Amino acid sequence: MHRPWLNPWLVAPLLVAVGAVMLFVQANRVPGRADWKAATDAIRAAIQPGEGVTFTPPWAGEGRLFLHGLPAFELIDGEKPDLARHDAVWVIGAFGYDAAGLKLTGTDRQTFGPLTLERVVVTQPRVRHDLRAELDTTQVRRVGSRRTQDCDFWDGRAWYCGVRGSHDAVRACLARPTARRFKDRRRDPRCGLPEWFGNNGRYRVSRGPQPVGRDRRVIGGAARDCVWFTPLSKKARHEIEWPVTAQDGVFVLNAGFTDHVLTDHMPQSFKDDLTQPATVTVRRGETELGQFVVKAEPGWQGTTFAVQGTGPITLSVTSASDVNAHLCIDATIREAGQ
Amino acid sequence: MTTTALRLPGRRDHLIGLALAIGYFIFLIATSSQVGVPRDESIYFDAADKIAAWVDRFDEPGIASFSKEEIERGFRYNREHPVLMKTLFGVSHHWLVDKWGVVDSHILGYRLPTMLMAGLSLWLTFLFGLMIRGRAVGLIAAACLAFMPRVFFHSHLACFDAPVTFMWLLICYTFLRASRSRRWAIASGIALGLGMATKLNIFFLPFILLGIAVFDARAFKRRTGAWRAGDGARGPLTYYSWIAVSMIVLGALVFFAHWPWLWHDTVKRVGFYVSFHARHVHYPVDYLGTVFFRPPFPMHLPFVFTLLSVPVVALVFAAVGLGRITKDGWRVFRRPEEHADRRSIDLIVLANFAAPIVIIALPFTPIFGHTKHWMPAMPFMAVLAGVGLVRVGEGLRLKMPAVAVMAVVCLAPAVWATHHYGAHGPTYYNAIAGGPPGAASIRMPRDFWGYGSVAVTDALNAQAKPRALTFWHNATHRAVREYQRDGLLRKDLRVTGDWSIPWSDWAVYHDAREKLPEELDIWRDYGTRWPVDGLFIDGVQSIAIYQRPLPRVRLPAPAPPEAPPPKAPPPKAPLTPQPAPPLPAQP
Repeated sequence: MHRPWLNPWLVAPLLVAVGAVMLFVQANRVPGRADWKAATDAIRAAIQPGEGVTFTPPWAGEGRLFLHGLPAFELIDGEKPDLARHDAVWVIGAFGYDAAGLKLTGTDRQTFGPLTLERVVVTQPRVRHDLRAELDTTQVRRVGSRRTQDCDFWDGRAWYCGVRGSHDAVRACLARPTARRFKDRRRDPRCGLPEWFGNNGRYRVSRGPQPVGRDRRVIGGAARDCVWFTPLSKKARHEIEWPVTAQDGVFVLNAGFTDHVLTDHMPQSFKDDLTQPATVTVRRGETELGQFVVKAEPGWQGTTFAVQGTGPITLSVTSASDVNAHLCIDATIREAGQ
Repeated sequence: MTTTALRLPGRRDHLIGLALAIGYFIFLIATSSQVGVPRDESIYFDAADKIAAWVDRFDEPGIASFSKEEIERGFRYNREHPVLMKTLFGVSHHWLVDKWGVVDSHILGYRLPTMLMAGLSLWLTFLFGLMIRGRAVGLIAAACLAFMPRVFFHSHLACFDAPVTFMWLLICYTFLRASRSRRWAIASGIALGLGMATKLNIFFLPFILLGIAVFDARAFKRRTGAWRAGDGARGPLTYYSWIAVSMIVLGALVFFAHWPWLWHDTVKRVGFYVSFHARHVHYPVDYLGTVFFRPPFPMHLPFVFTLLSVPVVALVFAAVGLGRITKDGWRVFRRPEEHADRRSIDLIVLANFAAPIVIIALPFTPIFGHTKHWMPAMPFMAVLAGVGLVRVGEGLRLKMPAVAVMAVVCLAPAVWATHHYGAHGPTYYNAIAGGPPGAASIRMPRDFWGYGSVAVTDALNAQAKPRALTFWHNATHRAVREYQRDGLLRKDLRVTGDWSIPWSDWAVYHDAREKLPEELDIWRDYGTRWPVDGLFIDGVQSIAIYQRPLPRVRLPAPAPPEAPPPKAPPPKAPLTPQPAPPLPAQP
């Protein structure tokens, strides 16, 4: 009678053994804090102005401890990362991930334990103007059917309209130590400034005018740097007047509503269909460079326009409704290219 | 291994079970301070305190009357859950910690009843293994259960999941014994009442047991040609009738008696209890890259979770055991006359392994704690693993000492995993998933309602200034207070409360995909997106600690709008490399 060369019952303990070996291999692929420190120290020693730092995979969170003071950013849209704000990007790879996995060509590869470090020269057309970075140089206003209101209070992050009282007093309040702010939190929680649609406000149906500011929002499942640019009620619009020097190039506009108002909330909180599409119009002088309708759908949506003319560029946003209109945009002017 | 007659446990077996229970109980006590307090546990602390105060007033005239007012004072809070465990948590803490001072940890004081029941679960698991295939199976089953990291984690908490797992086992055990003993029928009714007094899950169990009873009675009919045994003898139908009466009468009585809240406005309050759970809100469920905020949930969710979060040894040998028990069960069903003594044990193990998972797989069942909701299946899975491992030993023609060695060797990775990940059980994923990093890569969740913050108390103790203002995100104020009472966190640190990032200088963030907007709230307010420390399981963030990087400063007024300074294109990195922060200590 034929006897198998391997007792089939051996398969079970062999599977367990394979599992144990995999555990061992997995444990040895985990970078330690000393590895991360060595890699980021190497970057600090070599980084040049205009270069950025990132790491892959994005869930290798322990590395985030060592990015303080570096021009670092987290990779989103891993299939096609937008690196155009940098001349070159230092990519730290962990758990077997590296620049090649991002379809990027890295050079000067170094290893620090299980980490790899590569420098990727960015070949994408470069960003020449970035609305988010330059927001403090813009003028923001609310334009209604009867009057226009300048949003002339800058708190370091956003432009606010119609701030009551002295601006100096608000600045002094914002500068108070945290302990003092904590003490006054019930009487004056925001130094007289309006509430953003964040924190627990996110869990309510939201409407009403918002500041225009540098922000980070979860859109399309990712944390995106953007400009909080919410539409007003239907007869009014928000406007940003952006002083730019570029006379040519490509205007790249990306925008989206936060996942929270579209899908990521519990059914008992509010309905899905409150958010209405928003229209962002881009003008330069009398010329309309383009118009983009941001659909009330999850995800990061984008378009491009050709830049022409001179003078400041004006962005305006309108919508049929300002209810749950958690719109955030990213606007850049880039070199013309592929 | 052949289908043997059902073996009833003797005194020595109970001594082994007792030793297992005591050993596990001590193990859990020894590791309690490493396991943080999730949100639900902190709520049960509050409820337990109120009930303990009610119990402590027994000798007062007002309480002696069990007046409606006194009962409402003690039981109104968290009235959506029965109170057996909350009473035990409260009584344990109140007497062992506050009154007698024999336990010096407040958190442990609340948790002892759960730990005791988790220990007893090992005892019962051993007995099931013993009864189905012998002592070796029982021992291996108990070890498999003890060294499931997620079960280990939940076995600490003053919550209901480990207790209901014990109650599920207890009801099944008493049911099995009562299927051939009238005395045990009384025990089965009481056990069901206690189970219902523990958690809602138990309401499903009588239906599973009814199915088993029908199956067993049918097998008897096929064997003997009659539903009832003749000549004054007792057949399964008789025993199951007693069990049914006992479960209905005693079960209902125990449930009603244990919960003073139901003694007044009974119909209204029972109605609230039922309707609360019938229309339970749905919390976000993070699964394979999608956060589900509402049903239908994927039906494969509990199966995939089980596949990825139970140690490989238990999975592999449970698969072998499942095949073996199914085959044997079928043989018993086909030829009941040859296996009259085994009756329903194979089916009990199979059904109770499958049912808790299948219930959760139904697309409209609320799921918000992931694996803990089908934890009652785990002891039965462990029994199957014990059967499987012994069967493999037989297949390899190993003698019992060699089987024992193989069991120890095979269980070693599970023991290591429990030691390494057990205190943060929900972050544990097995080698199939690729460990926590592999789970992160397929976007599986890793934190659970704020328990993990206990792991970062040392970092805050070392780094925060006196009276620093701390924001704790998903950990409740009560949880933080318990860390302070137990000396795990400095007492001078102030807690700013929910949604209070702007008034804090330190923020603890519990990583969860549905909570990502709340991490962005911290980034926005603190002006940094990089944490200063945290809990990282195999390099993957579970908890992040953020520190407000600079004192708040008064901003200058912006330049006049007439002459905005044109900004140089794109922002550049600082020319002067900035010093690296000090290397944070390893957790």
